[in-house]
Amino acid sequence: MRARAGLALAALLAAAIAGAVAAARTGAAPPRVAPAGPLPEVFLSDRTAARLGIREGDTLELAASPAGPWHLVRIARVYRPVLYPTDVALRGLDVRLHLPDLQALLREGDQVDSIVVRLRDPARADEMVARLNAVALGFRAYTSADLARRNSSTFEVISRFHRAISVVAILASSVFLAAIMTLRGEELRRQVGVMRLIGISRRSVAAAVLLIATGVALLGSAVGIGLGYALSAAINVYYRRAFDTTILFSQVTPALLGLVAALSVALGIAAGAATAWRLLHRPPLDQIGR
Amino acid sequence: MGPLGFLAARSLLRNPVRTALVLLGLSVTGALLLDMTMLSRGLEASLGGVLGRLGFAVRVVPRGTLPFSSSAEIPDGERLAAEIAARPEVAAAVPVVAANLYVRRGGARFPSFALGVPGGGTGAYAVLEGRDLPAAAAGAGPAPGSPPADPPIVINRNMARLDGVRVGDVVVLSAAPEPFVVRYAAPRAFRVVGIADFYFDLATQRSVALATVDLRRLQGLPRGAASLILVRVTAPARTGDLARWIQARDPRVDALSIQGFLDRAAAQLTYFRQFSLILGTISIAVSFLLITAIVTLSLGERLGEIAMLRAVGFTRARIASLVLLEGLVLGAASLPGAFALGLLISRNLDAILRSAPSVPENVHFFTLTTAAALRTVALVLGTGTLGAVYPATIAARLGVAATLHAEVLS
Amino acid sequence: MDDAQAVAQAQHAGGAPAPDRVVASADAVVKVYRMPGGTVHALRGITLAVERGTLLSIVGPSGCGKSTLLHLLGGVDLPTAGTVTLLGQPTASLSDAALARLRLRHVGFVFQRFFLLPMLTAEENVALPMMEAGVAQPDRRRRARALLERVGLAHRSQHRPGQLSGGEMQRVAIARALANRPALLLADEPTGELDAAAGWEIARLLREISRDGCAVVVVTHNTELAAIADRQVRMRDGTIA
Repeated sequence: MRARAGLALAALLAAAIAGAVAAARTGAAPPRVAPAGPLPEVFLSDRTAARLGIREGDTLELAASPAGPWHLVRIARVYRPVLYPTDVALRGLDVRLHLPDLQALLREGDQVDSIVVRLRDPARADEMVARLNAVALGFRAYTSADLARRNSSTFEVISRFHRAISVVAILASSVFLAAIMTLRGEELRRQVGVMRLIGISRRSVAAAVLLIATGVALLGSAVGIGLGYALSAAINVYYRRAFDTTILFSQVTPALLGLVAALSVALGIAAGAATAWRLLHRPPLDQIGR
Repeated sequence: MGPLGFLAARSLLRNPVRTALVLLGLSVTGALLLDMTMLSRGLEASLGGVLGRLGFAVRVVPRGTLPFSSSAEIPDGERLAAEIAARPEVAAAVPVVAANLYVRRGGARFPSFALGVPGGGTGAYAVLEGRDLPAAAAGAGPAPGSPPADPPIVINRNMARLDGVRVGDVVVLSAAPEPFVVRYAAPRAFRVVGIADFYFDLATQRSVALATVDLRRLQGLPRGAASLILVRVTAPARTGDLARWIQARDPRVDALSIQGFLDRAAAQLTYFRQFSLILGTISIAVSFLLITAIVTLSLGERLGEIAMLRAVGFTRARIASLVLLEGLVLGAASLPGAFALGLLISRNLDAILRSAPSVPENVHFFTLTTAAALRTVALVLGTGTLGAVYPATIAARLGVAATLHAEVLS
Repeated sequence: MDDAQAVAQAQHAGGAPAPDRVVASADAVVKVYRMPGGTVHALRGITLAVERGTLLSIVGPSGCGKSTLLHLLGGVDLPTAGTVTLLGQPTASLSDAALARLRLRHVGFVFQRFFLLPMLTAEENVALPMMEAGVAQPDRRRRARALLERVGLAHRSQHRPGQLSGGEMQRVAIARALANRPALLLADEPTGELDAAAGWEIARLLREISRDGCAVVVVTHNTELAAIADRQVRMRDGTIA
């Protein structure tokens, strides 16, 4: 619903079986709905089992609402789900039931949230969807591609958000680099003054300053890439442990490395050029402080 | 202003181009820090602001849930609301039912969020145009012998705008998306009496408020249950006691204060917390490095002046304080730029995030609160000061005679 | 220390001064610097007294220890052996902070490279020691202007060092050194960066200051400045020649 949907984006929620299992409890209290035959079997995610302090073979009571009625089930398997990045921070209980058991628990007959159809010929998905929608009674069919498009909008927004943040980060890094290169240039002031006084040409001085700037930028980007790797590894170690998952949270890709190196070298050269220009437009005596 | 503050402030003028560049760098990193501080608790602050405006101190929900976060209901919510309303510290307890309905417009039906309330004046939404539902709407049918009138509803601005509906118009609602799904009750006509702000509406979401009795009739369900009970108190100081009493009275529910609501919602907002923590830390680290680099290099250029100050009578501690103050002043000088740039960037970032589906119109991701502003100021000033610790140590350890000698030789 | 003491030779420059007139003194002072390349004996047992109202010049070749002696007399460095007494207090017995306070109140320094703060006006540079000493703003402003007038720069009070000539900068530095009415003014090559005319102006000014009762010690290569001094001390290889 509304609030849920709002928070869904906020927390990158991916609601699986919305409201299907609203409550679970363990303990010795007798179930209010006695099973007719053997206890229904359920699968529990490892995080849920750990949180509830139960394991395979134990029993558990489930209800569609905190008000009950409660249904006794047996834990057939504790499994490790493949989590989507959006799920890792969520602390909800995760239970898998056979469809008839879930329907019985919900007391909504044979109603389902969705039906997944595997086609013999996937190329005819559009045609099948059109045929299904032509005769639809209270449902609507979508191709997987359509659904992916509809459901990916949140991720697209998050990607745009990340891109915007990275523009700000690049801007900050650029100014930082320019400031450092300017300071380096100031440090070179006296040296440049002496070089010019002993007769070294402007061109050679400019080349030397540019070379120094490029060297500093290259060295800086190498150290930066090393730091980036270390930070990325630290983020992965920390969050994998924090969320008990094997998901990769941060990734340093070759494309990223290329971008970082190219940017820092370009900025270094630009800052070097600006510094050289400033240095060469001051009298040599002024540069050596006379 | 003492000599240290005076000198530190004037140090900004020493090399204007360099200072401008450093301040620009610090402004950008400070802006990022402000944005991350705003983001880390922005959604909670924004949500809290909206919740505070509604004026309900306590929300009673099915245990373990958030308002309207699942289809779970409080089975005898209306009775529980009546019991809560009887408490002396309670001004009102409003049982609310939430459901998905469909609005028929021409040949199409649009999903709509429906709020079932006992009557008008509950405060669950704010009427902007027309009037509220009648106070006695709950269960009030037409007088015997008179023709059956269309029950009243209040609609939101989206519905008015998207469907061209005005006060006095008739809209048809049903509980089912298709007319021939027989499981649900038949469609029913309602007369629009008002247009309201429903606070948590999505950008294109249609919302309606109607009497609970009418909503239940549409759904084909009996009365009694509630999705949520909104409680308005007369004594805010006793909110905690009231919440504890409600939970003791019915263990199937949670009674959430606004802070409790936000705490529970915050558990689902870890993404933004972690994201802002990482980026905020990086921006602090970059500011720290920038200040350390600039102050250290600047110090290296004026060792003679520092030695002069020591010779004139400034103690080591005063010299260290002067350098620390220079870091602080750099941080402080970057604050106006950081705030201006930060607010500008945050507006754009907020617009990006709010363009996602399922984001309520009144909720923002980046919220400038006093706490966020103060935290940013403290972090920037602290980073400025800490960034100057290394050069301050160098300055304090400076040998006066040796430095003066070296300066003459250079 | 033993090495230093071994080479220490007490040398007196002139006769014994009246104790109540002595502002600073060095008694068998040795200064040894331990460097990576070996030990440097900068001073080898200097004994010297500086009296109120006198202009004392210290001359000698580069590296003979002139500036080191000046720094020791001013309390910005401590002797390796021997005693330096500043206004009756042995400098080695004072904490760094106490020495700093002593310098602030009673010692003025003039440097070859001026060391004026470029972001301050001439008046603000002069007022700086008074600010640190806690002099109230109206008083320090009045005194800074009076000092600038005394050095002939009243019309340049609002100019920054970058807008002044070398001679003007040094005159501002002298005004700054006089800010807290010091008993001792130490000048290290005050004319080293100036042309002859400006150097002569500075020499004349220092002479005036000593006439007003301040003890002035000048380390210089400037023969004109050395010549107008009340006393001249010639140094060679860390000793008084």
